[in-house]
Order: sequence, then C-alpha cells, then structure tokens
Amino acid sequence: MSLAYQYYLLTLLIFFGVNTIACWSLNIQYGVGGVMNFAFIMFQSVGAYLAGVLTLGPSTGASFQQYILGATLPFPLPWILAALAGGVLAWFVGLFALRPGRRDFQAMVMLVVSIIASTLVLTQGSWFNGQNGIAAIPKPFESKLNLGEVQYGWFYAALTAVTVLAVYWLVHRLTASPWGRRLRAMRENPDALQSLGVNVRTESMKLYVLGGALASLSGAILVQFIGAWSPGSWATGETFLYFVAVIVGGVGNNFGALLGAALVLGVFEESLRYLPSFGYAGVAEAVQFMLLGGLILVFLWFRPQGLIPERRRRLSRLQPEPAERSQESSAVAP
Amino acid sequence: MTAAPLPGTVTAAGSGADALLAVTDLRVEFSGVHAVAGATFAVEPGTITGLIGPNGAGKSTTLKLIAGSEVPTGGRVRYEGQDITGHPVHQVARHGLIRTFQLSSEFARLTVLENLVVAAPGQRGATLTSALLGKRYWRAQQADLIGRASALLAEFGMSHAADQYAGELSGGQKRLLEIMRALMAEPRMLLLDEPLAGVNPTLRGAVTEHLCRLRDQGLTMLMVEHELAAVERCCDSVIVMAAGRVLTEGTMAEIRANKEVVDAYLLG
Amino acid sequence: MNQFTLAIGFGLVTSAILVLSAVGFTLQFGVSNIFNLAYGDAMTLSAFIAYLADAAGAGIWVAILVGAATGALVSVLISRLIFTPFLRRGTSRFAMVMVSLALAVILQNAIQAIAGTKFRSYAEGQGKSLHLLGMILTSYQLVIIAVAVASMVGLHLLLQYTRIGKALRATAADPELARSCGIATDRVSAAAWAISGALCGLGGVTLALNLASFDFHFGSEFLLIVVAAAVFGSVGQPYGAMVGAVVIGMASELAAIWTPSLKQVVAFVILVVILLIRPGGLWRRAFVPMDVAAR
Repeated sequence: MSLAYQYYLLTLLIFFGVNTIACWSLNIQYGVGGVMNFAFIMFQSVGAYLAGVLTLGPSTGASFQQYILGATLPFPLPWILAALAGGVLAWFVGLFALRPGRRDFQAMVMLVVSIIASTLVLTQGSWFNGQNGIAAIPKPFESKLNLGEVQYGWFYAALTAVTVLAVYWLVHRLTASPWGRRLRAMRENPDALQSLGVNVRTESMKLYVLGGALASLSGAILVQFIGAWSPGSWATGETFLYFVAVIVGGVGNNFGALLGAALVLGVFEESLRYLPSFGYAGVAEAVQFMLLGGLILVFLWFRPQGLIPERRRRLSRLQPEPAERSQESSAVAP
Repeated sequence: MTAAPLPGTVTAAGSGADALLAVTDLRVEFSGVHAVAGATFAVEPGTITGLIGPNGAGKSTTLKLIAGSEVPTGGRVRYEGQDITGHPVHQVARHGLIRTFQLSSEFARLTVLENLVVAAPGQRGATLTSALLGKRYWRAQQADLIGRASALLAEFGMSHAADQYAGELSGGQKRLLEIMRALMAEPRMLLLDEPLAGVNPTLRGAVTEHLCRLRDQGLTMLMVEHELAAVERCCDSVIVMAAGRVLTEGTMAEIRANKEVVDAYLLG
Repeated sequence: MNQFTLAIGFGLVTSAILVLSAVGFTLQFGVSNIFNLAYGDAMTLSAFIAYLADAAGAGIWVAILVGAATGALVSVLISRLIFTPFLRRGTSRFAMVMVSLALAVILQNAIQAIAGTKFRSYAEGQGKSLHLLGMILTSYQLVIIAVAVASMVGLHLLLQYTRIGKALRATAADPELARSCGIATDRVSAAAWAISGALCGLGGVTLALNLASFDFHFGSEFLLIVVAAAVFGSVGQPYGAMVGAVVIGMASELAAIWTPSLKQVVAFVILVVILLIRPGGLWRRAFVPMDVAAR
C-alpha cells in the first residue's frame, strides 16, 4: 500500500471517528431527547477554535494571525478545555434558547444564535482571526514523537479511536439507563412528562450541555489533525449535514448514528471528489446540498425513523422472579 | 373584587382545614373569554369527587389550573394546606397531585411497560449523574418497578400489550394507560380528565371498581366525566359546573333533583 | 443634520423593510403554526426574479410587483406541495421545522447553483438623494418606505374589513380556538399564504434595493432579524410584528452610530431579552402550544 494511499485511508478513518462522535452528540440530543440543536456546528467550531488557540500559543503582535486566549497547553488539555467550553456555551445559550416551551421555536432560536455567532467571529477579526481563520495548529506530540507523516497519522488515528470508544461508553451508558428512558419520554411528550413531576427544562439543559461538550470535543479532535479552521467551516449547511446523517442513519440509535456518519459524511461527501467537475467551482457542492435536502425530505416522508431505527426495549424480559415480586399492586402512597 | 355568590352557588362543606384540595374563586380568561369565572369548591381526602357539567363549563380548564398547566388570573388553590396557586406543573406533581390528560398523551415510541416505569418517581439512574453509575446501581430497582407495572397491567387486563409501542394502542387502551401511568407516579390525589372517554362499556365497570378500591385504600380523586352512570357508581360527591362557575354540589341524587342543574345541563 | 437624524432616516428604511418581512413571516406562522425557515430564501428568490425583471428593462415598480408575485407564488407552492402533505401524513409539528430547514437548504442551493455566487446590484444605482428633515434618503429608499406604508395600510384594511382578514385576526389572537373552530379552511389558508408570501417578496425586493449589492444568501442572513421582530411582537400577531419591526429597525440603526457592525447584534440582543423576560412577546401572556391541528 503506497504511502499516499495510506494517508488517504487514515484521513478517512479520522474523519469518520470525528463524525461519529459528532453524530452521537447530535443523536443523544435530537434522536433520544428531542432537542433539535440547530446550532450544532457552532459548538463544533467553538471546540475547534479553542483547541486551536490553546495549542498555537499566545498571539504575538507580529504573527500573521490574531486571536484571543492563546496558550501552549499540552495534550489532552486543549481537548478537555474545548469540551468544557462547549458545555458552558451550551448552558448560556440554553438559558434563553430553551426558555420557550415549543421545541421548534427553540430550534429556530438556536439557528439564529449559530448564524450570529459565526457572523461575529467573521467580523471581529481580533477574536479568532476573522475571515482567514486560524491555521498552522501543531499536532499533539508531533515534535516529541518525530515520526513520518503517515506514521504520525496512524498514531493520531489510534488516538481518535480511543476517544471514540470512550465517547461510546459514555453515550451508551446514558441512553441505556433510566435517564435515557426519561429523555425518550421527553422527546415523545414533554408536557406529559412534566405533569409526572419531571422538570423538562432542567433535563433539556443537562442534555444540551452534554451534547455541546461532545460536539466541541469532535471539533477539537478534527482541528488538531487538519491544522486549521475558518468561518467557512461554520455554515448552517454543516449543521444540516449532521442532521441528515442522524436522520438517515437511524434516529435514537447509536449504531444508526454511526452508519449515518459513514454513509452521509463518508460516502456521500467523498463521492463528490470523484465526480467530474461541471459548471464553476461551488456548483457541485450546491447540487450536493440540494440532493441532501431532497434526501431528508424523502426519509422524513417514507422512513422517519432512519435506516437503523431505535431498538424496542422489551422490559417484560426483565421481570423479577415471582418470589421477588413486590406485594404492592397499585401505587398509592399512604 | 369578589362577586357575590350566585344563588345556588355552594361553597362546599368542609372547605376548612380538613379538605385535601380547596379551590377558591378560581378565575382564568383567554383573549377576553372567561373560561373559569370564580370556581370555589373543596375535595375531602379519601373521596372520589365528580366534576360534571355541559361542554364549555370550564371543567377541564379547572383541572389544568389546579395542576399548573394554566396560570389563573385570580383565585387560590390550596392543596394539603399549602398554597399552590400558579406553581409549575412538575412541582405540583411532586407533591403527589397528578393530572391525567383529556387527550391521551402517551409516550408513543416507548413501550407500554416503559410508559409505566418512566412515571415512577425517585428512580435510581434517572438523572444524568446517577446514570453514570451504571447498570449495577439501578438494575434491581428497575426490575422491581417492572414488576409493579406488570401487576398493574394485569389488573387492567393489558398484560398482552406490555411490549407494544404505546402509540399503537387503541383509543380505549390509551385511556387505560393514561390512568395506569398516573398511578405509577405514586399520587396522593388524582385529577382525572374524562378517564373513561373511549373506554369500552364492559371495561368501564372494571375501571370504576378499581378506582373505588383505590379510594378505599386512601387515594383521593377529582374526576371530570361525562359518563354519568360511572359518576353515580363511584363518586362520593359531585360538583356541577356551568359557564365557568360552580352551580352546586351534592350526591348524585341531590343533583338530579336540583332544578337549576337540570336546566343548565339536561341529565339523562 | 447630524448622525442622529441620519440614523433615524436609515432606521425608517430598515423598519420599512422589516415591517414587510416580519409581518409576512408572522402571518405564515399564524395560519400554519409552523416556523417557515425557508422564508429568507423565498425573499432571496423574489429579489432575484425582480432584479431580472428590472434588468430586462421593466423598471423599478414592475420589478417590485414581480417580486411580490414571486413571493406569493413560492409561498403558496411551499405550503401546498410540501407543508400540507407532510402534515396530512402525520408529521409532528416538531419535525416540520426540519422539513422547512430542508426546504431552505434546497432553495438556497438551487439559487446558488443557478445564479452563481456573484453579487448583483441594481443598475441605476440608488437614484437621486433627497435631503429631508436632517435625513438623507435616496429615491429608492423613499420607494421602499412608500411600499411599506401602502402595504400596511392595505393589510390593515384587509384585516379589519374582509372576511379573510377577520379569520386571520382570529387565528392570530387565539390560534388554538380558531383552528378548533375550523376557521383555517383551505381557502383562508391559501389566501393567508399568498398574502404573507407577497409581503415576503416585497421584503426581499426592498432589502435588495437597499443594499449596495446582494448575493444568493442575503435573504437567509436577514432571517435572523425578521425572527427577532416577529418574536418581539408575538409570533402570529401582525400588528405586533409591525411594532417589533419599527423597534428593531430603529434600534439597530441608532446603535450603528457607535459601531456599524453591531446592527445584527442589536436585533439578537433584543431577541434574547424578550425570550428571557416575556417569551410570548408583547401581545401574549403564554406561548402558542405546539401540537394544535392546523392546515
């Protein structure tokens, strides 16, 4: 296998890992909990920007890029801090975005927040270098390891894989738990859940913070591999892409989200590379987005649950043994 | 600005300290329409009180006001001696005051058992932090809850539907699920909004019997119903509402004899 | 003449554009209970078609009419071909916003694919400038204000004196009640989409007229401010949207005296504040519940 081919392959794998984490983040928010995070790309971008500047070192006046919060923190601090920042940002946004009881209204507000945040980053050049974005971000342990480009790439892929497994552990544990069931109930009928004593807004907020942190983590992982990030990567279309992945792959199912990451973000995106170019630059991408828009409409019409739908939980199989069964048959508290 | 009580308005006996639920001059208006215009009544503990009246009388709205789904524009709601007027829905529920919905509001893509189990309060592993502790922490209690839910299903004759998606149930089954789910929430008082609507006649008797048994065990209920035979069968007292106000209160027999009620609401 | 009066002048223009856009958006919400995220892109499309009409020599007034007609047509098509079928199929209100986002993506990228990423400008420039009470307004800007005023007067007459207007007011005041009374019949619904669509088109054309140049996503960028104005005035309430439009239009231009880049931020801040203190908007105590049957 030639080096170039290897590099291509490991790049695919790293992107796949990053997108899987992102899809799991979106899936637990939207697929499981019904929180339609239309600001998703904002969280991923914030994580990317933060991890970037925290490894670039402080911005000197003479350097070609201008940004705040520069530092040279050792791995894995940039990733951890990026995730924390995502969570904190989610908390602030959630304060007003989760205020209206209507979830479609919440989604719209989140979309608005995402747009304004990207506009601010674009226009306020002193924040994160404006239109040009940040670049030349060093990779973790790069100088210490002194490997060839491809070998380092495999190292980074391994790092990504470990993170993916850790995130899976977290996400699976949460969705399989009673909290996961509560989230799904919240998705189905928040008013009914509220009238059973659950503070839906608090639970939504917790979910949003968790999802924001994971999304930011995915941005941090990606940015340290590709070495750069700019407002161009911060378009509503990117959020949309992730939603297509989750909806097509399977709503509420972690393997569905993984499949969605592979199919939509992997196959679909990559296939663009192999199509003959037509029209001017950008037409192909525009057509691609149109097709994705159509794809989501088709799925929402014919198969809203996605390719790998949420598993049915057969609780009847988890009955206690007859001897252990509790005596109470009704639930009247004295 | 309290209106003088209308002739025939009864401020229920026992609206003193021993009533479990006491509603005083409750009012709400939507865009100029006075859906509830000064309702006053009380519910004694350990009783089933019916709430009847013609369509548009404000019965459902009254339940919503008590439970906190709507915020009143006037009046007070006292539950267990505490003023809960306008308190948020989840807080009211945590006091043990559970409301069912007029339109079945099941968790459609959860199974019937899941619908019941998720309603139980104080579940281990039902918060983000406790969920991180893993299966070992919550598994035993969950099994217990499943057992309790299964027993409840058996009593309502729905054991066969345990693993069915709630959204796929028939209308009548959904109504039963609505009641069962409320029971799983460990209520001290139930606000039932037309619980028997859509339930087939043969089952209605069994359901009302079950409710009566629960009442005997100490559960208090305020029940909005149109099905007057059921009201007669299990309600200890009946409140009649019309045009957003309480017309009168008493036993079914007294109600039937009350001319005003008959005029306002043709009793069959 | 000073910065302040100049800003008032610009504020009038921005308010005019916003009034058209926000009232259209809020009417669409009022009749359908759906947040149409494709609204901004419908504005863009209308602006482009109007621009083509003008470039073909039809003149500015015809272009404006063409824009309104395009907006109306696009909106009616969206509701008939996409929203209504999905609703009838049982798609939840919650999922409908996903449908509208998909539509927005399709529309915006279609415009980009066809029209390209080039910026367009109206050939005649902005026309003559007029000095008035300390404000400087170009003839185009006066046209914009005139169109907005005329449209609002027309809308007011429609809302107060026609049957369709009364139906629209009913759904705005109490959507739940109106829909359960069956007020939003097919005819009322179609009329509402057409009227709000026309306003959408007018909003797009006037916005384009006011900018030095515009491209394929200027409409969706404006959506943020439209939403802020509509929410401020209670979504679904047209008179509220008018108030919200003036408040935000004026506030953003006045804020621009200090920092030109802050216009969008002002709208955003107002939106956040309203959501924190009164999410229902000026007109409403509580918010419109989501799961109400509608067309």
